Amino acid sequence: MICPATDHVTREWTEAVRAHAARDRLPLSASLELTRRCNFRCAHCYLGDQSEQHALAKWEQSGAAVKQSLTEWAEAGCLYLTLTGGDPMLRPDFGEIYRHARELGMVITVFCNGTLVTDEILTLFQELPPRKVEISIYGATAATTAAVTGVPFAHPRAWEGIHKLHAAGIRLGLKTLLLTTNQHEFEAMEKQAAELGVDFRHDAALFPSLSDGSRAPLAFRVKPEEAVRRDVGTPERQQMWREKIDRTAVHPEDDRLYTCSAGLTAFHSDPFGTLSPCLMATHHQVLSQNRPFGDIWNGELTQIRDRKRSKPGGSFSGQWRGACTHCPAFNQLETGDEEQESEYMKQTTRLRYEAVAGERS
Amino acid sequence: MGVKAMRKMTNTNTLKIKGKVVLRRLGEDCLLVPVSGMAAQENCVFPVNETGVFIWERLSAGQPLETIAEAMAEAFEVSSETAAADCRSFVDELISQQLLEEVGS
Repeated sequence: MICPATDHVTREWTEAVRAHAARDRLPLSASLELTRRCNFRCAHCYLGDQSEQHALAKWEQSGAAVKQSLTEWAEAGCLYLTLTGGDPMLRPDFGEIYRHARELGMVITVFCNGTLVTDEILTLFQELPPRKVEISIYGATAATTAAVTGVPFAHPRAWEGIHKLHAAGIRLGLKTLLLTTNQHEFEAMEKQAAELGVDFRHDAALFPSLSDGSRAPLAFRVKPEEAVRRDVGTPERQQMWREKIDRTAVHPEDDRLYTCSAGLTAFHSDPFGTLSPCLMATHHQVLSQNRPFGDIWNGELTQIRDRKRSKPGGSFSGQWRGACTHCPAFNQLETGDEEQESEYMKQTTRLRYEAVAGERS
Repeated sequence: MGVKAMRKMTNTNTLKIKGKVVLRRLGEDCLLVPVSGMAAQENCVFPVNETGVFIWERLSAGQPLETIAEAMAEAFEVSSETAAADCRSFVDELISQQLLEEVGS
């Protein structure tokens, strides 16, 4: 009647639920940007100019509206929720919204920068534990972190938050964006996470600003060789890529453009009540305008699933596809064409594939 | 406390849900999501089948196990003995997973 909560069974069950959700097109996972405001001023950020984001605060959904949406999503089958931003903890009603979602039985991951963890939030997380709090760090030292984030307090305050959460027993993960401005501290950041005994992950995939399409963030991309060197830099990460490449290779090539969970079992909401299949698929946005969630989920958000590839080749086909990290929405943001990948993304995909293949031979 | 030890408990004990646990239905799948209490700290969710849902809903409403077993025998057309054993077994599992506790009446 109840399956033992071992990791093994939970993993099997999770896979089964995901398969059922995909078959029945249930909105199992949601990401919710509670705000696009942040107390950092990162030049690489895809949200663009923060003064503009702060000016848009008056258009953010009220706490009551957010809670109403969460209730609807839960009724529709949403189990996994990611609360993100900006920094979601900038909203004074963060705790109230978090509590509402958790008490609906949602399993929550919180993305934040660690500097806004108050004692109230800590107490809340102890009472209603999140699945995980993932904190973005931008350097191993105060100087680099200040240079990346544009604020001098970023490093000490982030680590104050990290230590507070860790000491309180909250499940924690650290992550970073690999940038030209912090790549020299990548290994040191990884070591800091290891010393704390928490997960660490990274991403080098910068994309243009969501708000105005500015390509300024791309200037912070590290060279493809540097990105790939970190991607496969440890036996564990190499193994992860090997498994992904192998897993993808056994599936026949798909003529659908979007083969991920976007619009199938996952969706995204911005702070203004706009829904989309995922954060990056801004060209498939739908203003909710008080319409029932089910209408949008079964209406506009399903359309992405019907899109077919029209161009052969590229990283979405052939042996490379398992080593690919970008997607049509990413391409749209960078090249203006869902099916046209940039040379940078093409190169990182091929180098990643070769790094794993080379290790095998 | 082990399962065997719990089975020795008498039926005069009352069952109480530990912390807050939400029953979720995701299409054909059902699960118990502990959102507070010990089980929530462990970051687990617990899949349950329809029989488990039947028992859980009644436990949540505060019904005694004996009453639930009777209702279950009728609803699932099984003997009283089978229903009682299934109920007890389910409850023991919930207790071992920190979702439920047995308190003296």
